[in-house]
Amino acid sequence: MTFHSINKLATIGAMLLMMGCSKLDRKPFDALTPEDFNTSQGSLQAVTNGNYARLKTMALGWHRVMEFPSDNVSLSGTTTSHLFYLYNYQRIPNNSFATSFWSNSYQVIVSNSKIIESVPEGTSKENDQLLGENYFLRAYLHFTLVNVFGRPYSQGADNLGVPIKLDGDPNNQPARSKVGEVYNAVLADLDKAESLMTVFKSNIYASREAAWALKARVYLYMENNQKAIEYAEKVINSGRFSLLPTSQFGQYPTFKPESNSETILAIKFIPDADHPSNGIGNIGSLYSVINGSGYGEMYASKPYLDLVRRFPADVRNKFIEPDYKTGSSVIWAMYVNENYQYVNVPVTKAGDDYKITATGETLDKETNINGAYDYYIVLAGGLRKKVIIEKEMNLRNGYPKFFITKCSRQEGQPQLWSPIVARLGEMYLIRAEAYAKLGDDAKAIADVNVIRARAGVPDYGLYDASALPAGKTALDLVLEERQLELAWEGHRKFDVYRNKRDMDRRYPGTHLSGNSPISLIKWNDAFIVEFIPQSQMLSQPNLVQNP
Amino acid sequence: MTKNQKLANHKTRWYWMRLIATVVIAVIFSAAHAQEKTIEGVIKGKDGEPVVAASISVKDTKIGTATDAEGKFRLTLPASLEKPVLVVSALNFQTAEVRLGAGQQTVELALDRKEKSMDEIIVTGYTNQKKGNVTGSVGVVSGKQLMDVASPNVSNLLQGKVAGVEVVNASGRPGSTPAITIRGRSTINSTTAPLWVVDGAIMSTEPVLNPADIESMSVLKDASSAALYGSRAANGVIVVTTKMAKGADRSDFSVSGKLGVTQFSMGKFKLMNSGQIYDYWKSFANQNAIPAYFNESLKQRNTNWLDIGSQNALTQDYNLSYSGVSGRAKIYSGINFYDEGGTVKGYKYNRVSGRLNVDYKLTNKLTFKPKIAVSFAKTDSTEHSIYDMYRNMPWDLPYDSAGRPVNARASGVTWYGRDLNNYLYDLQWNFTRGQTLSINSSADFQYDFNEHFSFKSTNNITYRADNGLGYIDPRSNAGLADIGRISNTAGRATSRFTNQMLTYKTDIGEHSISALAAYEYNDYTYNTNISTGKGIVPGVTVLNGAATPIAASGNITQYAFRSYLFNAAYSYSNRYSLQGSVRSDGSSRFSKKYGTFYSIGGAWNVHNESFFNVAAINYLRVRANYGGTGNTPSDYYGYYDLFGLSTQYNGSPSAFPTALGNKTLSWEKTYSTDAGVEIGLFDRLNLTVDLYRRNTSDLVYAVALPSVSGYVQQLQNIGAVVNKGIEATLSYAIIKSSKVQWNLDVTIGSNKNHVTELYKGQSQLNGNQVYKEGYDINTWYLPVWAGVNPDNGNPQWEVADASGNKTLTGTYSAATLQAGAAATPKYFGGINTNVSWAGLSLRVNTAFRKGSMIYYSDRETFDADGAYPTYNSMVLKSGWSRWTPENHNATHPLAYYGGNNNSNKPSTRYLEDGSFFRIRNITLGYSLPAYVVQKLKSKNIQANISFDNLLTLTKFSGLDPETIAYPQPKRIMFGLSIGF
Repeated sequence: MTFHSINKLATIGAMLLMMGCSKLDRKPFDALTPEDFNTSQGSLQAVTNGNYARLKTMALGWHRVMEFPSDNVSLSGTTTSHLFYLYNYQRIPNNSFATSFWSNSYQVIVSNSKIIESVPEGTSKENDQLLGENYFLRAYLHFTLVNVFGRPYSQGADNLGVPIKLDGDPNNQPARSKVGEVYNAVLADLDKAESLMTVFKSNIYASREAAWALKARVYLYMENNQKAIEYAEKVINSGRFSLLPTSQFGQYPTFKPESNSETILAIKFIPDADHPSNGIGNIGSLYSVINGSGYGEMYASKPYLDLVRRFPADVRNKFIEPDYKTGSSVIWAMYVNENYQYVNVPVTKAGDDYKITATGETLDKETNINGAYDYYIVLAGGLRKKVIIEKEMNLRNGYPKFFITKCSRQEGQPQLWSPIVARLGEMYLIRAEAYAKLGDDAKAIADVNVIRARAGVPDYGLYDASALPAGKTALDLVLEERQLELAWEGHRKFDVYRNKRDMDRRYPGTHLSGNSPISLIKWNDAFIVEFIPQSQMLSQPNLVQNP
Repeated sequence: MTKNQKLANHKTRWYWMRLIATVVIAVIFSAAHAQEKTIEGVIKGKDGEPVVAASISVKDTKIGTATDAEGKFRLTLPASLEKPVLVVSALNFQTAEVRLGAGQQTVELALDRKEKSMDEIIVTGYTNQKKGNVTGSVGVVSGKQLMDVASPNVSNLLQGKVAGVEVVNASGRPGSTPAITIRGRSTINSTTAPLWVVDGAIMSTEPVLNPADIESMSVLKDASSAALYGSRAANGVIVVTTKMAKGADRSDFSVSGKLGVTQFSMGKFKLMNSGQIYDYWKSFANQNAIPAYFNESLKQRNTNWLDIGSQNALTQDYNLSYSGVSGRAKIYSGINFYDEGGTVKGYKYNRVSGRLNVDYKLTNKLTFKPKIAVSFAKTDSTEHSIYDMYRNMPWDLPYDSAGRPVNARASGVTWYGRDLNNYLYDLQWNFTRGQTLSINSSADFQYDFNEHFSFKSTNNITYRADNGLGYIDPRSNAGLADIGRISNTAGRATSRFTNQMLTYKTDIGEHSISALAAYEYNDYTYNTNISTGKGIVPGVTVLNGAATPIAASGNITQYAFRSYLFNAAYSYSNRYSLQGSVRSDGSSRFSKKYGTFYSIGGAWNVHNESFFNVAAINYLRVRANYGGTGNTPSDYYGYYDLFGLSTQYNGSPSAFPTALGNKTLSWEKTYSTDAGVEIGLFDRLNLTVDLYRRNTSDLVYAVALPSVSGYVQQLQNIGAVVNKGIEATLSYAIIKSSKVQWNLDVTIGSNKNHVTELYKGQSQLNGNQVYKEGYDINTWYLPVWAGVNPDNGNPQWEVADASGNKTLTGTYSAATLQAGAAATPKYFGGINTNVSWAGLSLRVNTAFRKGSMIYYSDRETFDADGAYPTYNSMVLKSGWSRWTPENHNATHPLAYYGGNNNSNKPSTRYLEDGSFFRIRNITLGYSLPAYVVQKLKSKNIQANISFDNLLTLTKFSGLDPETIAYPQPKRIMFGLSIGF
């Protein structure tokens, strides 16, 4: 070995050492650190967007905890998914949807608070608008949380609610406040939101009108009816929104939110990017199969079908799409037997009559309000049951597939839908309910009729405040209309229990299968309130579990 | 797969077969028939017994042969070689050389038996040490010992071969890699995988290696052996040395091929057939809840979904290798083709790999050691749905009268199964494909300044590129809405490693000293892209053919280490050894970058003491060591507060606070103590016993934060766990006559684990398990199943109050979660035996595990007492029975349509004993006698037949206690190997 080759060796060695002498710091490429941010509008906008984006992520759990305990839905099979226990009231403390709803809500709330803490008010209209949006979201999430994990306000403001989190400090971990305290915090945030938001961007961002709409709902839940009317009217009179005409109402979910004049606020899902894996994880997926997309396991309930089918002209029928058996010309007379199962009897049409194909027996018929007929089947023992006349349908586990499409088909994509936070139709119904509770039946029924007429219910189907249907109060009719109008938008469960009414689940669905099902739920049952998620109980010892 | 692709595949296979055949034939027949002379001889031991399979080579030539069962051999030499020197070597004997006199035609030689050598060299990563100087616990597996079960992955082959190394196979799918845990789990959130080192270079993950290229593997289990790897060594280190040619002036070819058939292995598991599920429904207590379609005619519809989805498949494994030494150069080169079909239909795995290792002595002082290994693996999947095979109803008919798959989701089709999924329908068109290209290249060199000082440079780049294609046909249910979809995934991992090391060694009288100091740098970049397009014409498989791009994502992640290490060893008179090492590691994953790890160890060779003179004891040594190693958190960026950017709102950029950083985050530190005894008795029995205790503290722990903090978790160094255990390795020569040799090897390890400290002392849930102070780290935490209420057939669980009093409840949500048995096995190991006689050899390798409780979650759906009535159900295992009005003493509740009071929710009901004893492999081999081999101008010819997973003894009610869902197949392989 010569001196020369040692030189060569040294050179190679030095090169290798150089390769190893880069810095040891590595930063993520798909995330920013707080130092990367400043309080410019751009980053403020990005973080606010991030909060809306997180609402998209959590939409599935959020929708399910609110909607599945209602009597609008009928599940066609048992399932491993925890949605089952939201649906059948067999609560479990580690329900993944309840956990996701709680956890994501508070993460957004803290992110809202961080923005609120770091951006001073009054720097610009645009910044104030963004601040206001964050106040709004914080209020909305606290409000939804307290209704899912606490008892309705009307059942006692002193019941345990949820923690009120109004700062960005990770070490401040508040215990549960009383329901009333949470409502007060919600209203305080909405006051701020209302005053800060002056720029209406579009209905996919929070706005002053959205804050009014939410206030109307909050006051309604508090049974502060005057205030509820006041804020509902602010929205109605703002002129910013209009009810979709009857001719378009049946396509409500298909519009992109910005093109929908009725939507006050929706969390926007965009085509493709928010429809991953063929939309299988989206909200509508459980309700329908469209073009091969979706599970299609949960259908419109029998009570809802009975309600909406009273008037064939009611365009709300369009949100339900029966899945007919292709190529079949068979007609069914469907009824529900004493075991709450659908029985489908093939019948043959003969003029205005239907004959049971097997026996030749003719179904009883009665003229109904529409001038058409309702049909009845007489069972052994003389029991008479009203039937649904339908073309032969596809079944799952014996359940006819009454697909719900109210959460599907936005912009033509099967399971794309932008969940609605508030829409104008609800404002009329809030006002109606408040009037009914204040004893002003005429004004209450007038608002109900606005909604019914818009839905295409014929004039003879509208109500007359001076001659209410037998056995029904104005409030009954408002609540019925709320169910009809707002089904699958997350209202029904709250509407029933806050009005101290019971939920009748005696209709077909797998909530009744198994040993010891729960079919009739009393408004004061413990299990109408979700358990505080087990993981939270473990990590936050100051939380108290629901009974 | 298209016809053309199939053809191409066939062609490649044929090409290889033909190539191998040509090489074999050419070599056999090309030998020149020059003037020759013949030498015959016999090789015996000093005891007079013939030595079988001794290798005889002629110095400075390539001529060689081996002895037969009577110790006889025969050599043909060119007449020109006047006084040839024969080199005779054999296992367990000392190598001897004989110079033949001119004209000498016969030779008889008696070999000296080798003492169990303490001079054997053990590879411990940065150093190679004499066995007699090693102070730590190192498990060594030779390349030969590895080669039993047919598998493309080295880690599969380790099972049962090293004490304390637990290998649990994850799946029976071809190409899947198992989980390896060495000396118990010592972490909560970080990896439990050992560190892999190949030819001196640290790998970022388990490397792709052809098992046939491996010379040896050393498993470094304790601090003394592993601490030199510092912050990544707490889970142990597996050091792999690939092959290199040995000896001088040799040239060896070896060709081997194995071909065989695999079979889907059901274990004890049985599913119901049509009639059984009918009767099961008939037993439901709430008959009125059953849908109207239920009637006896359903029994006529009987589909066996497991039969439809499983198959016997082919496994092929071909190796061609060359090793040669000539002048200044040594070379090893190997090529492998491995091909395996899944026993679940529709999955194919194949891999071609090649390696070239060269040692080139440029001067007497400078040696270049370049190495390159390349492998290309492909998977092709239209795999049948395992989930559905177990759950689809026998009443559902997958094919229509014309034999076409039925679309269960189509209108008008009768389908009973709850998921409405005839997976066969979409499988007509849809598939996924994967390709992995791995390149492992080293440019190493060594410069020996003098007999004491050397400089070693190890420089490695390992690159792995994964490409995936997902194809969804427009005709399939999954592709209807989008008119078909194509998804491309690409991942590229690059790991760069460099180590510059100075070594020193010297012997002064009876003192022997060695030391090393090194600088090391390693970085890693992973780059990934996924893109998806929709709207395709059937058959199009590239994104250019998709009408609309619908999703694109990509990311880069990186880490880096910089380290300084030092090691010194001293031994005196082959009696006392002392060793210490220090490593300072810097990591990109922490704000405070550097940490120091060290170890110290000693050994005493008692048998070398003059006072020790026990004839029965061949050797006796004791050793002990103590030191610290680390485990680096899996999270690359744990110390940063982060706002994640991977979301959008209305297509605009969005940021959300996703991580709460911890500036003080650091390594998990494991301080371990190990004491070992090694003893050799009666020339027959070798026993190594190790006792250890490993205290791990500063566990990197994703402390669950309440969501009101705004975060889900934060990484913190809180918590501690202790592992202590005993390991034994025993090898016993039952018969060791020269004719018959029968060895028995047993490895066994037992590890006890308990968590000693947690964040605020709080227990933390981990799925169905819990981390709880005083309990095993894998402790199950479930409602305790209290069996069936004999009065009404309903399920019962335990309710335990704070003072431990227990009552029963029939309400699932009222049941108390209780910490109970653990998934950690009480002990595990292997029993391997080897018999050879006159060219015949029989090897049996087994593996066992005892006391591991496993949660069989699948039973929640197919052993659910009617909760999933339209899933198929398993047939109750023998000894199980269902409650009926006549049978009140039952294991299973009365079944209801829709289930019985949540009886199928997680509870100890589904906790099963996962102990097993498995005959992993039986290989029967026959080596052709020397004279035949020589006639065929070869060095050795061996034929063998082997059986994998022939028998598994277990109480587990499912298919495979290791893999649970996809069982490891049974396999029979026929093999032939030729060396020339």
